[in-house]
Amino acid sequence: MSGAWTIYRRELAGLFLSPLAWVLLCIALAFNGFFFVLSVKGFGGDVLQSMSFLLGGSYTFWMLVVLLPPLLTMRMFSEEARTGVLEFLLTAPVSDFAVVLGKLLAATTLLAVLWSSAFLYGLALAALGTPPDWAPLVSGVCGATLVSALFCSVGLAISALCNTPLLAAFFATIANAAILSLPFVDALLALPPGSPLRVALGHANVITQFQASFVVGALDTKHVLFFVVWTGFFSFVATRVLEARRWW
Amino acid sequence: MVVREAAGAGRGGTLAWSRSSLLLQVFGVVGLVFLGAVLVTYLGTLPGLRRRFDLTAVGSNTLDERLAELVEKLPEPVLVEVFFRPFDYPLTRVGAQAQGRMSQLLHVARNQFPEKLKVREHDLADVAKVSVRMKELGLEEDNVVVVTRGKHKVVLRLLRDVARIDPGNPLVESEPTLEAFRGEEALGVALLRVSIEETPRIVFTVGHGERDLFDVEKPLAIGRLHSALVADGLRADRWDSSADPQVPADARVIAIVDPQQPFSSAELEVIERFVEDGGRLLLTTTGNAALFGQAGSPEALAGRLGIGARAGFVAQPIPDGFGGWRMGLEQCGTIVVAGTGLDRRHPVTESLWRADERVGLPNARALVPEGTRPQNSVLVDLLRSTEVSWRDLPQSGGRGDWRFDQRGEETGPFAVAMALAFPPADSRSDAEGERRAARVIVLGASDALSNDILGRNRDFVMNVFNWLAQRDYRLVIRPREVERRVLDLANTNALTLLNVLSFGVLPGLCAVLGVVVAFARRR
Repeated sequence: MSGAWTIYRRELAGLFLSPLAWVLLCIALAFNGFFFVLSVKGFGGDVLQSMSFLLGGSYTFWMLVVLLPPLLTMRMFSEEARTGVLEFLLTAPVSDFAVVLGKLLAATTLLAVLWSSAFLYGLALAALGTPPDWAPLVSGVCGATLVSALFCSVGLAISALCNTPLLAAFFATIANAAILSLPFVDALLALPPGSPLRVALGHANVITQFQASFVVGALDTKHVLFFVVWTGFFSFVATRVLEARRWW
Repeated sequence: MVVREAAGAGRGGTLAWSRSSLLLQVFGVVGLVFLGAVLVTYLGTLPGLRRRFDLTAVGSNTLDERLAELVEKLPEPVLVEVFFRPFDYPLTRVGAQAQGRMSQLLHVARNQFPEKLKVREHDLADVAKVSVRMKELGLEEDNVVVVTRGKHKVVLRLLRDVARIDPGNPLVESEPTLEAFRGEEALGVALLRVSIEETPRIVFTVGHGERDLFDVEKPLAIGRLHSALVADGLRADRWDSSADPQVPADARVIAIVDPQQPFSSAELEVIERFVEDGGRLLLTTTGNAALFGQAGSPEALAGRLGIGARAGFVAQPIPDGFGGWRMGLEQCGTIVVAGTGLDRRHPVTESLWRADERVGLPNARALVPEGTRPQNSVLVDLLRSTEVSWRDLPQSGGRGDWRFDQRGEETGPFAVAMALAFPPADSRSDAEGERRAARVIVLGASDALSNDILGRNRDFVMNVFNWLAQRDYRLVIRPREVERRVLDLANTNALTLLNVLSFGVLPGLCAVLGVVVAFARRR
């Protein structure tokens, strides 16, 4: 695990010392801020609804969740493979999983920083005399971080598969959008109620998993487990793909 | 690396085979891990392994303690089906508010008790599918929540049972508002009702010219009442008291609806004994002027219980549309009871009073306490006519003129429905070991149960039978306040601060840091 920690610190430094991360944060925060102020006005100043809107209750949130992770993870393997840095990394005395884990945590941390900006909005509202309910805010940020981790792991797996960062970003975005769209397959196929596929698709509904607990200020082990397990699965896939680079 | 060395040795076929074999192994392992992930996700949904913690300050993700206890004790899962459609103007906004709160409540309930409550929200846009289901459930309207357990079913109407609306005033452009949301209470009562196993039996007397229990076509028959009772989980059938002098053993309620012929004294004796032993009785006055008040009439039976019926019909003037009142019309004979005319505490009328409902009573007789009542009895006026009503007495031709005659006619208010409860004569107990009190309702208008008016009086009539059958479950849950923290938007400083923070400070800080990083890297 010390290997993962080393990779994590290296990646995090790399991210925060690259203009790309700051540009992404700048755009995302401006985007988020715009819709937050709009929601405050739209909900007639209702602070609780506005905070829910900011963290998981709006299309803008899901758009950021789909787009940002691929942009952060696209370079993590494909760029390193192109420049030859990956060869050094793979021969370093760290396991493949530690490499994936370190990179995943770094990308997730950057997104967690983005979502944590909600606390600043909360503080501003508190300063204006209408403090939000902090517990749903905390659970919302935690949930948003878990969702980001899931999509970052997808991005990492695809980045490990591709040799071009742009291609990796493109496919990862498609994959993320596909994951979010899984529940609509049910409607497309007009599955009968209670059919195993429909039940399975229901369980794979990322938006519901997120909104049913984190957004409303509840912590549900079912939903936490869902995000942890599937992040783990895609990290495992990324590890196997990375390992395959040795012999393919 | 090993593979590449092998390739260097010139064994191309082996290399391809090794790669394919490794690839298959990788796919196999990934597949196994995928199945493992599916399994763990599934295990995480199992009620025994799942935990949910409410982090909100006001517990908005947790059901009220009493409701939670009730759900926990449910013997088997209950299905809650939601049939919501947007309301028409002017109820659009307030209706959406009520729908949203009910959906949220059901969502909380489902998440807290996933093994006990199954919630199905029907998409009313899918007309074909939904109409089939609505037909199966016998629903005639949307914006209802149906709670079902096996054969037991309770229908909750959104703007009656769940939410109370203040209609506002269109003249001063005040929109309807949500006055009270009692979703938890309504859901609790519905769950109580569906969780009771028994289906109480109601017997309607026949053989004296009573209304037909199975005819749903004739306006004055009571076939629709029969259907409504069955749909509500009650059993309703006939009892010919002249042919079979014993009250059926499992009968919980006897209903006597508008007999045209007198009962024999032996029959009345049997019915009276049934009531005295803790039985339940619904009695309507007769529409037969010749029988009214005679020996063997329902009025005579009511008189034995301390309730008298007065001759004539209660009438009320009709608004003429110009701020005045009109008399002398046939419609004056149908009185409408609402608001203060409904007893606001009795289980039969409390929900009607709360929902601001009306009860229509054609040809209603005035009822009065009269004679000796059973010991320790409680008599309540369920329905009372207004102060402008009067008791219209028959003229020489036998019919009233629907005009108030100061000389011989009294003015209201008059009781037109009364409920009587008293402890049974002996100390016999029911199945639960509780002493069951006798309950009697005397209704001054038999037409109130008829096919052509049941739609209007359905809630009242169902409350009557549910009270008599001892299914008047009451659960008091204080309506939950919606937590609102509202920023004063009139305060322009507040919005400016938010704007500056959202568009200026945070993105600006990131932009500056980005530029600094870019310069630092370049140098």
